[in-house]
Amino acid sequence: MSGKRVIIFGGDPAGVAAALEQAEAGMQVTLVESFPGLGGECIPQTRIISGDDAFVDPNMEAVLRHPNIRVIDSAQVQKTVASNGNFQLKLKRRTPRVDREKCNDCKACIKVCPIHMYDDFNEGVGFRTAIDYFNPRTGYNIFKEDMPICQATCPANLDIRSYVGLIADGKYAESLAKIRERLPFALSIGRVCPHPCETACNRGYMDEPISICTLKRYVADYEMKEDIKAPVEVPDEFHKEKVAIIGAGPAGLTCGYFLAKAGYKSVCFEALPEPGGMFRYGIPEYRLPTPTLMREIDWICSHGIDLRCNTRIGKDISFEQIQKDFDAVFLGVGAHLGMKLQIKGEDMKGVVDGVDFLRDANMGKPVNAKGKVIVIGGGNVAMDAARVSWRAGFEEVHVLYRRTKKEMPASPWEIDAAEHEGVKFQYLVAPIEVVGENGQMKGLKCLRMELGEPDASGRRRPVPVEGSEFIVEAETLIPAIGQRPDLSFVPDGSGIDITRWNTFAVNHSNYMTNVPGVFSAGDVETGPDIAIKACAGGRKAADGIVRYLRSKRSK
Amino acid sequence: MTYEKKGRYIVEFQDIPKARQHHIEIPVEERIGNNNEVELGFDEERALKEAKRCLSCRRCLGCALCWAECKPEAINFEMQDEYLDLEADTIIISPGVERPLNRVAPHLGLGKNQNVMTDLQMERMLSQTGPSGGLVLRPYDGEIPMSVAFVQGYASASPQMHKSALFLGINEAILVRRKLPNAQISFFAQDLAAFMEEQKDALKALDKIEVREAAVTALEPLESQSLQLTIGSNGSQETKSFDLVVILTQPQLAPDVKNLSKKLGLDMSYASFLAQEGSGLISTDKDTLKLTAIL
Amino acid sequence: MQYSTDIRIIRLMCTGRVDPTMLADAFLEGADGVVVVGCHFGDCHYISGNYQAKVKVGLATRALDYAGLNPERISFSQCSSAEGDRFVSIITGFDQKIKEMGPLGSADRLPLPKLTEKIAIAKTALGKEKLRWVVGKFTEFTTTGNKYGEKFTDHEMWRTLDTIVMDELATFEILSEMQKAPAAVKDLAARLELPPPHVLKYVLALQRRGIVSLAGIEGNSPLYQVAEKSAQQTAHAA
Repeated sequence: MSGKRVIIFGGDPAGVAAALEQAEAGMQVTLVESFPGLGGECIPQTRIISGDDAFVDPNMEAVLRHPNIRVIDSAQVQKTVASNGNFQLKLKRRTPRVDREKCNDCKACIKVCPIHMYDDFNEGVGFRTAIDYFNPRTGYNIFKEDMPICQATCPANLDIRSYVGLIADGKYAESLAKIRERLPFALSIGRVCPHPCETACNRGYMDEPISICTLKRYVADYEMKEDIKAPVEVPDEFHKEKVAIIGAGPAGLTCGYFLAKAGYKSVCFEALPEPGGMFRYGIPEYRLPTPTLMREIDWICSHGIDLRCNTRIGKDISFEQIQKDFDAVFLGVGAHLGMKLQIKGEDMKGVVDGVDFLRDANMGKPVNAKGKVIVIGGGNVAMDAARVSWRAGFEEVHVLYRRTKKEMPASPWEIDAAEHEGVKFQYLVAPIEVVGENGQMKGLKCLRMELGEPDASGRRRPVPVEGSEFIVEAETLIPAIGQRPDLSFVPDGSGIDITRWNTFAVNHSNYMTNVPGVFSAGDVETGPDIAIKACAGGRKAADGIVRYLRSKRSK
Repeated sequence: MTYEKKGRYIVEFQDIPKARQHHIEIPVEERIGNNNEVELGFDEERALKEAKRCLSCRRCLGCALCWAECKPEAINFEMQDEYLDLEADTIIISPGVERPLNRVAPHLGLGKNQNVMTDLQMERMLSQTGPSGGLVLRPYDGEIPMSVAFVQGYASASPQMHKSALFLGINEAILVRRKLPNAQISFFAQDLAAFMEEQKDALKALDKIEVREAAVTALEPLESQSLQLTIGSNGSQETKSFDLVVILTQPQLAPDVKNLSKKLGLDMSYASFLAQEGSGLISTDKDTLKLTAIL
Repeated sequence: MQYSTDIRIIRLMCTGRVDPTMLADAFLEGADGVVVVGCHFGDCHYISGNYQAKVKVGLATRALDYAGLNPERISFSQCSSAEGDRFVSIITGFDQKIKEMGPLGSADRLPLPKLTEKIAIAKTALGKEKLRWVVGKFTEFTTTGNKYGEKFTDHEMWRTLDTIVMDELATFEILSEMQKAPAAVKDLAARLELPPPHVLKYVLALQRRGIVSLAGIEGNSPLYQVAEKSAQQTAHAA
């Protein structure tokens, strides 16, 4: 058994002890720790101390000197493959930027470092500096964060610190250019984003977070209001390869934009009459006006995207034809199919799905706004449907949700705005049957719920209250409980891997599906998610496509 | 396990606190019957004010002052991240626990009152190599506290995790007693009876430490920055003030270990190993995967 | 052309020669206001001297503002050698403003002599490597970027300098107070009018770097002193 290779994850005292034990038994030990430095002393948590054994101090010297132990700190596992009873791992080790062989622990660097930081090694008691040690015996590090917390939280990793700083300096055009390095949809995202960056913002600890999203909107609006011509920067000559983009939504257009910047023209096929995808047909007009969106899309397309609307794949042009005509295909068709409630009477007249309802409203189709409307769901689509219904003139708008306001996944400000506008909320209610006459719904039979014990994820599951059935009278019911992609356009023989969530499976290093040359991102790859995530996916897929086309040409 | 915690600031800028700017929006009565845009964003004045609120979070400046001062020339800004390929016949995971602060009951005022700290902060303070050089200090003014209360900061946890939290807390109380022979030390927690019975012998070492099955229902800061606790036990209530309050946080499996074990195909739902003592290895359903117990 | 006789002109080769400590010195020597007048941007004989000057005057203003001085007492203006009238109007306007404010200590956050004590500390901080090094990097960071190739905006640079100014001033105040006698955190905080938790963090940070050490415990108060070795260094530097 000797000479076997052992990897130990976790440099806490238990891991260190295990490393020594294994090494003594003749194993080749690698000790992997994600923290920059091995753990120091700590207080036991499984017994009561007595006498002098107050702190358990791992025998660090022995570990560091042992010939059979190799220590790798600041390491993250990137990939694991288990085969034939052994493991292959790929690790990323963050550089310390300090040569630990040369460092003599003189502390000169921490004396001069001008930056005092939150001392995460000591739970915030005292300070540490930007260059510091966790445990002097295991070495110094320059702790260079890859990104500030706002940028790291943003799905598109926008350089928020820079573009907000540029606004503070009064350099609006430069700020907008900074945003456009990673995102073409500044006008639209600046209006609709639920801004996870603001939730993460450190200023939230002091008073309130920075209003990052509205600042982004400000610079984009500034360009629009001052009627400044937005710069179109593309290479002088385009490559001869062409890319097909299916779906002119946030993901598809972002992908086309970055392809054009890299010198590849694309043709974008859109099934609906106008481009924009969920921006156009999912987000209500009062949140994102169509003229604003179209201004942005026109600008994006002027980079080198040939837009063909009213072209449905599988009907107007076959998928095989596209694969034959183009060098690469990007699939960004979104998730436009509403989930069913799976209750009796759901096919009655008066029941219209949230996504369909919003699409019709955005197309300007008249809404039969009579009497009362019930919206089911607690997400942002439900809030949009409720607020659109209220505008359309329904007498009463009710939102039914099976948990409480605290558990609602919609953005709190959207809930507040809906309440403010007079939308009524009923919590802890679940629908069980649509009731009606002659195929027209007249009401919804519901059950009261109560919150039970927390489950493994800590969420308290709603459980029905027995005998609490009641009927809410209404002529219209809008279920908005989630969407999934419509993949019916994909021919049976395409061979593209589809996950059990009915989304495309891609390799996240290049966003290519298992079929060479076919890429995908956006809601059709991630499942329903926020717009900026689709934009981020579109950009990364564009990078993948460019790499793919280059490698194909060089062959 | 992860060191990229959110930075918290210590110096007070002159513009803190300063409320954030709000976007302009049209009144509710103008919204019905049309689809006009509701939010109108910022005007220039608001945008500038808001952008100037950005703190440009503290980080390594890349100024290279350390590099200029380093005599042995050990600092090298050109060093890059490394990618390593490893192979192994056996993998051992030492899971460790993390103690998320957002689980701490809000009425205990952690973060609001300087003299309320967590058990992990106390652990660092007790350490000779810790930030205070081994002194137990009040974070408000650096004074040595004359009374310390340990308070359970969560409603309920799995039995093993609860036990682990109690061990840490009691051990810290014992260490505080060694440093402060004259201080009044109290320990308030729930579900103590079984634990006390099991550890009867070891608990003899408790030197005038009050250990009581009780819940702290309220915490009020006093002018002296000491804290007045409302303690409920056996249906009765009393108030008592302490110079320093240490919150027992709820331990749970660190999420990155969970992710790792998922990648390796190991089901981490059995947490029974956490209660085991000593440093022995625990076998899993896979021959080549093992776990260590928490020390 | 005439201007007030209350003005003392100090000539330099270039405003780039202005050192942040000089502004502190001026106030310590009894000036009630300082105006730095340099060439217009783009006209500098030494290419970027006036840009450097603007940054350095800005830094000194922030440090002295933090020390309790009214920042209006410092001004940075530009005027070429051919604009005599402009020079006169700058000087006259500034002189007028200072006269309205009155002598040092009258329109400032702190009164004399406390203000001069704090200005002396600001001078020490402005003369130390941290602020000098970072302010020297200002142009480089905002144009070509730092060691990692990250470009800074002016806003970020000033925020960063603000944080360093605050850290440095507090640190040197604490050290100068401690040099008189070993002191407890709460007494230091009371004397320096700083929040006690901040003083504690600075003291612990200094202790960790070996600049401050524990002198003893009096009642419930640990007393801290400047560590012997670094006391010599500080004395030497002063």
